Amino acid sequence: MDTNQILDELNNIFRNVLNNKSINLTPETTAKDVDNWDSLSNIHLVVEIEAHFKVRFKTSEIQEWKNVGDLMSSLEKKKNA
Amino acid sequence: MSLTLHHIGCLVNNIENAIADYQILHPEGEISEIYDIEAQKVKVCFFSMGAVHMEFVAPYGPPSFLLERLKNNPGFYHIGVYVDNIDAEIDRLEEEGYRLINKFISVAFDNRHCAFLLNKERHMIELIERG
Repeated sequence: MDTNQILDELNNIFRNVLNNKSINLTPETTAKDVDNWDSLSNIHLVVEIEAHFKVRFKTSEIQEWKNVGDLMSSLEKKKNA
Repeated sequence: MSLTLHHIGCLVNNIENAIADYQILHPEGEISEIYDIEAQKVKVCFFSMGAVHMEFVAPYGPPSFLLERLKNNPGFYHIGVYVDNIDAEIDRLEEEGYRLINKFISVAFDNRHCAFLLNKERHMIELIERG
């Protein structure tokens, strides 16, 4: 699974969970850049991402994410492990 | 371990209207004061229906996931349960696959510790530490 594919799939998850079809994620996107990406929606996103990619993140990993790129790095490590 | 149900959380646009609707079902229900939970940008009010309460939750601005949810899907969205030791219960539930959303002190529960978690079915559970 390449980086672009992961980003595309994440984008779809964000659009569905946040009910916002205009979201266009980049690796630099942060929570401040996306309407309604708050502490509550973040966990909804994590649960959807885990189910979609069939991975499980540690709480400490989630807390280290500063932007979408960090999330993608975590995902890529798990998918390529 | 079984946890005791305290309330059913319900997203509403207007607390007074929600109370009036539920008084049709349970005219003798007790109504709490309306609490302003500033940290979460919600106003909440409890309406007793026997042993279980309805918690009417009215979010207010700025834009948030909860406000968006109210727009698209008002109604029941979490249950609240009593626990004896909230930290131990969070640990136990996380080991079972629940996700901690946040832990906080709630004025709606006499400044006791509370926490929201999301289970694998994407249902929200609120833990309330007994006083």
